[in-house]
This record gives sequence, structure tokens and C-alpha cells, in this order.
Amino acid sequence: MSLRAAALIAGRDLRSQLRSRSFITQSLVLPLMLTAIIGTALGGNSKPQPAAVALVGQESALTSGLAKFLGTDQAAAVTTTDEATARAGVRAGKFQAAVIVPPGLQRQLSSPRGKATVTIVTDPGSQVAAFTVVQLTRAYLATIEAGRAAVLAVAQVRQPGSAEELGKIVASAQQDVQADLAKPDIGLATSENAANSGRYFAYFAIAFGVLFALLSAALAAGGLVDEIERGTLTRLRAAPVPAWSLTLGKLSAIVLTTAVQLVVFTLATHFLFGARWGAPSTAAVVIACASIGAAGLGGFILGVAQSHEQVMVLTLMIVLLMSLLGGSMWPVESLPGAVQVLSRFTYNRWAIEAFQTVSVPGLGLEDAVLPLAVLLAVGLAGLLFGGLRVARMTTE
Amino acid sequence: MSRQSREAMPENELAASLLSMPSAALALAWLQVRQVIAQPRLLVFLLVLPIVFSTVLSLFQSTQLGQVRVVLPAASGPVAQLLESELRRAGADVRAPDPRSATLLARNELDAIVRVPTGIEGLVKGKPVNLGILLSPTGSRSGEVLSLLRAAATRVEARLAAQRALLAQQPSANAEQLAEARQRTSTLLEQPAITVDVVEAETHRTGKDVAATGANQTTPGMTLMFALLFGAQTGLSLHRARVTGTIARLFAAPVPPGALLAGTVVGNAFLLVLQLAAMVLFGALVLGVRWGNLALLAIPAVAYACMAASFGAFSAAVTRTQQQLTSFSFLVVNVTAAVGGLWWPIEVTPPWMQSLAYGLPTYWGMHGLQLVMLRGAGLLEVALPAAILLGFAGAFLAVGSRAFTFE
Repeated sequence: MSLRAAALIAGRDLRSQLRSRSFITQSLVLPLMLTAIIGTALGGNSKPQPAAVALVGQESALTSGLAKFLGTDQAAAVTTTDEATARAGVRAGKFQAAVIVPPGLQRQLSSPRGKATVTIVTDPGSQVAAFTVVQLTRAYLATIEAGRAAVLAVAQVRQPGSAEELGKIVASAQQDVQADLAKPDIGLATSENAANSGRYFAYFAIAFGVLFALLSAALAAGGLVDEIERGTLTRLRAAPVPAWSLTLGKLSAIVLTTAVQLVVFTLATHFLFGARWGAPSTAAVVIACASIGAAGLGGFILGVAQSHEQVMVLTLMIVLLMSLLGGSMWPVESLPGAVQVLSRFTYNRWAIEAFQTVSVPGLGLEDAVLPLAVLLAVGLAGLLFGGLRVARMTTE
Repeated sequence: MSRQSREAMPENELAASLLSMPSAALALAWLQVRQVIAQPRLLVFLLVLPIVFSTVLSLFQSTQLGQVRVVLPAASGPVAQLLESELRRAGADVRAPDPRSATLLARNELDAIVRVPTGIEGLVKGKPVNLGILLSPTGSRSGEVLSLLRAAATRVEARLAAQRALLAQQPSANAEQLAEARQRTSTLLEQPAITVDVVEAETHRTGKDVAATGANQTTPGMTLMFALLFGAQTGLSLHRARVTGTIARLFAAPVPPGALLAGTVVGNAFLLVLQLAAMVLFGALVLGVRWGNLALLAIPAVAYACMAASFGAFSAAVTRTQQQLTSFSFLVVNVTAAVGGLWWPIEVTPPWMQSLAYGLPTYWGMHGLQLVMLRGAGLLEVALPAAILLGFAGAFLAVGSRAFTFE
């Protein structure tokens, strides 16, 4: 009977939330809009944009070879220009890097003791592009070094008797190396662990789903704080319902509201944008655990907030900070090492990991035991904390 | 004041009431300022959140890239060993396979799993192979992984090509000569003749044609976003005044009806100007933001403060409850912040999104500030965004005053 009363209270509160335009706006419309915007704004597909590179140097086989090498697989879009324009272009954000090849580089390399310095000027705001340009430039220069090393080694072994013979050896060895390197022997065959078409979108679908689950739970708890503020919760003492039953019903409503938000979000992102959340049964388990985890934050807010305004401030502070640190605003792997450790104290990190794991074919709930256990533990602790306040209000 | 009571009012009293409007509005504005300052939760919106977010985001944006984490099977021969050493040389964190590798990859705790084919040792004789690279379906580092692997593979090929060239030139060389030549090739490659010097460009310089990155993006971006969120407080104050009956009681006082709206907006605009000033100071002293000419910066900043405070009145007019207003303002602020270029440089967004941004006050606020900060703009250049922001403020107030019911 008391469980039935709890279920009725939970169902009544859930219906009330689902009829609320605020809930629909904040928990369903906003996450879908932001996911679509961010997915579009940050590329929306898995192929990185070519790095904009300025190449400075006298026209030669070396510079044209470097330009061609940087352009392989559209890693970079190369523009040949002078040094002043290249440096100004990097400062202005027009180029993400400028590769400056010193004049007479090839002549210097023809001497056994020749040394030269290639300068790469990078935009600190484009670190990935800079990384790509530095890696590829170094690799291309390694091929030049290889040709030079081969020539010097051959000359040592053959010990030519005349300058003419040396010239022939050098030309022949260089030709061998260049012909050998003209066609790469090592291919890179990439594949992804799942059929998600866009990594950024796939990531942000999960990350934003988690963020707004947290927000939904906080707002649902905020509704309960409103009831406490208005005194309606205290008046329920007159009803023939045990306090624990009332508390259970109210807390279950927070969990159910969050679960509904997550279910609608996963279905919408799956059917509208093709995001994959794993097999329905495993996704359902993760949604259940993630909902309880998020409701734990709602329980915490319920336990400490005294007014609607306090709910808003606490929600913003906690949800945004957890989202910043926990990977909902950008991938955790792009954060500094210390922040990655700190992210382990956020709901977002564990929930994102749980969803990421089950979204990959071949992985299941057994691979997500730790994140699911953490979500459940955090959720139950928070709900207990908030539940104590509700119980106090309905018994005192 | 209702239309009926306005009609019942004698003309001279109405005139007196209208004449007292500025002083009443100013008095209410001062009251609003005192009320906000007395409430720590509102000060959190006003100062703490923008400071926290600007600082955290600036730290993240200035961070260097982490190591690329790659799983590579144990090397079974000299070419596989060469590949592993070239990956390490390129800066990769090379790890041995682990039963949990697939799970770690799914959670982006690894960036790639490399599958080395059994025939890799055939590269010595020029037999082509494909390295299998398994990437995370939700990873963000595919570009770095691929360029690093491409670089390592090229360096392996370069070494092998040098050795093959040597062999081709020396069909009759004895074993000792060949070993010596290989050693020499290797030594030469370990001591490259070409040094690569990587330098970061100085991009955060006040002047012409400078890019917006790091704290120069995040500090104004977060300041403007939280200013707009605080602006919604205007609406919450008006809603609360209506719910608690404060508005009804004000009708008993000799205060013109529009004074409440004007006072709340002016008070919050003043607070927002203070917020922007505090953020300029904090950004300059702590985050190293270069704001440019402060007198010119004040023009779009004050216009934005007026717009943000008026946005609250608009929000109050189009919503019925505090909860609705919270949802509405949260939706509008986040979407306009993202599209208007407060979260990231607008240049990174697609052209259609940039066109859409022209219709948003957030874009004009950010554009106005960055014109002064990054481009060294003059008075005429900042006048346009400021005028557009004031236009938004006027439109928000017009809708707010017409639609908000004082009854």
C-alpha cells in the first residue's frame, strides 16, 4: 500500500514535469539544439580540416617535394609566399603554421659537414595543426637526410678515385633513394570501432546528453525545493501516507524525470542525427544508472538549497563546473593531466565513459562495471542526503 | 498602473507623475543595486561565475597537447623495432597490448591501437605493407594520430631506403664493408644535418590583424555570456515583484508605473557595467588579457550592458513564471553565446552560422570588444556595434514594457 502510494506520488510528479514547458525547453529542446550546433560548428565529421601552411623558400626540388608531402591526404593546404607575409599571416590567424626553408639548403647539404636550420612558426591557437606540420616536415626532412646518408655511405664504401666517379656515385645513390621513396611502402589503413560517422558529433551527443541529464535532475529537485518553500510539502503531513513513502515517491520522480529526458534524447539523437548508443538493453541499463547518478546531484541540491534562487545558483555552479572538468564541454583527453585526474570526481566523466563503452560493438556492460558502480554509489548517496531533508519536512 | 486608473487621473497629476519618472526610476535603480549587492547568490552570477570560467577556460586553452597514446604489439623483428623507436622519437606514448585496450580506446584513454602485419620485415626488400589503425569512435585526436603515424612510417621508410641504396650500389662489397657502411648511414641519420626549430608566433599583440585565441577569446566571451545571464535577473526581479505583490503595493505610492521597469533595468545595467569593469581588471592583471584602449572599449561594453539588462525585461514579458523565464533565458543565452562567437572564435564556425550570428546581440558585443582589443579600432569603427546593441536594447525594452502586465 505504501509502495503504491510512493508510485502514485512519483507518477503524479513525473506527469507534472512532462507537462511543464520549462522541462521540455531545458531538458529536450536545448540539448538537441546545442548538440546540433556544436556538432556543426566543430566540424561534424571525422575528417580533420587541412592545416593552412605558408611555405617559404627558394623554388627547388626540396621545397616542391615538401609542399607535395604536406599536402598528402589533405593534411595541409600549402601556400608558397615570402617570409614577412608568412609570419604576418600566422600572427593574423590566416596560416596555422609557416615553414621557412633557408636559402641554399640543398647546397649546404651537399657538403659532408653542411648544417642548416628549417624554422617552423606556429600559431599557439592551432596546436593540432602545428603538431601535424611539425611531424610531417620532420618526416620529409628525414627522407632528405636518408638520401644524403646513403650518398655519403656509398662514397665511403666505393672510395671513388676521381671527382667524376664520385659524381656518378652520388647521382646514382640519390636516384635510388628518391625512386624508392616516391612510392610509400607503408600504408595506413584506418578503421573505427563503431559506425558513428562523426567523432565530434558522436562525442558531443553523449557529452551533452550527460550534461542535460544532470540539469534535468537538478531542476526536478528544484521543483521539490519550491514545494518546501511554498509549504505544500509540509501540508502533505495531513495525508494518510507514511513519510518514507512520500519521500520515496518524491525522489523516484527525480530519477524518472531524468530517465525520461535521457531516453528521449538518445532516441532523438539516434533517429535525427544517427548517433549510436549501443544495444537497446545495455543502453537502458546505462540510462538507469546515469539517471540515478544525476538524481544524486539533485538530492544534494535538495538537501542544501533553501530557495528557487539558490537552486539556480547551485545548479549553474555545479553543473557547469562538472561539465567543464568532466568532459561535457570538450573531450577529457584534451585537458591537462592534473585536470584529467580531477575529472574523476565529476559525474560527467563516469557517465560519459559508461555510454562510450557500451556504444562500441563488442563491448558490453561487463566492460562498464566500474563507471556504472560509481554512478550508482554517487546517486544513492545524494538521494539519501536529499531524502533526509524531505523526510524531516514530512515528519516534523 | 492600469489603463482605467490612468484615465481616472487628473491631467496635472499625470503630468507630475511623468515628470517624477526619472527621479523615481533612479531611486528604484539604486534600490535594485543595493538589493543585488546584499544578496551573495546574485553576486555569484555577477562576478564569481565569469571569473571562474574565464580562468579555467584560459588555462585549458593555453595547455600544450598531450602525448598521443598508441598500443603497439611487441616488436618481432628489426623493422618492427625501428617502427616502435620512430614512434617514440616522434613523441608517442607507446604501450603494450592489454586485454582492456579495446575498452580504454572506447573511453578515449587510448588514441589508437596499431596492428602490425606479420610481413612487416619484408619492408627491407621493399615489399609494401599496411599498418592497421583502430581509432576511437568518439576520439578527438585522429588528426594527431594519423600525422604522427605517417611521420614515423616515413622515417622508417627513409632509413630502409638508405640501406637499400647502399646495397644496390655495392653488389660486390664484403660483409665487413657493408656493416661499416650501414653503421655510417645509421650514425649520419642519428646526427641530422638539418635542425628543425619550432617557434610560437606572438599572436596576442594589440595592433592590426591579430588572431583571437586563448584568454583574449575566453575572458570577453565568458564575461558577455554571464552578463546576459545576469541580465535575465531583471526579469526574475520583475516576476518576483509581481508574485509577491510588490507591484500592487507600489500603486499606492506616488511612483509612475514605468519607473519600476526603468529602475530595474537601469540598476542592473549599472551593475553589469561594474561587472565588465571588474572583468577587465581581472583579465588584465591575472590572465594577461590585452584589452586595448579602455575608453574605446567602454563604448560597446556599456551598450552591451544596456542590452543585457533590457533582455531581462523582454524575458519577463514573454514568460509567465520564474521557472519559464529561467528556462527561456538559459536556452537563449546558451544558443546565442554558441552561435555568436562567445564560446569559440567565430572563424571556426561554418559560413552559414557566421551569417546567422549577424542577427544576434552576442556577436555584436564580442565583435565590438575584439575590434578594440585585437584590431586597434577607432571611435567610428566601434560606433556600429554599439549602435546595434543599443537598438537591441530599445527593441527589448519596447517589447518588455508593452507586454509586461502591471495589474
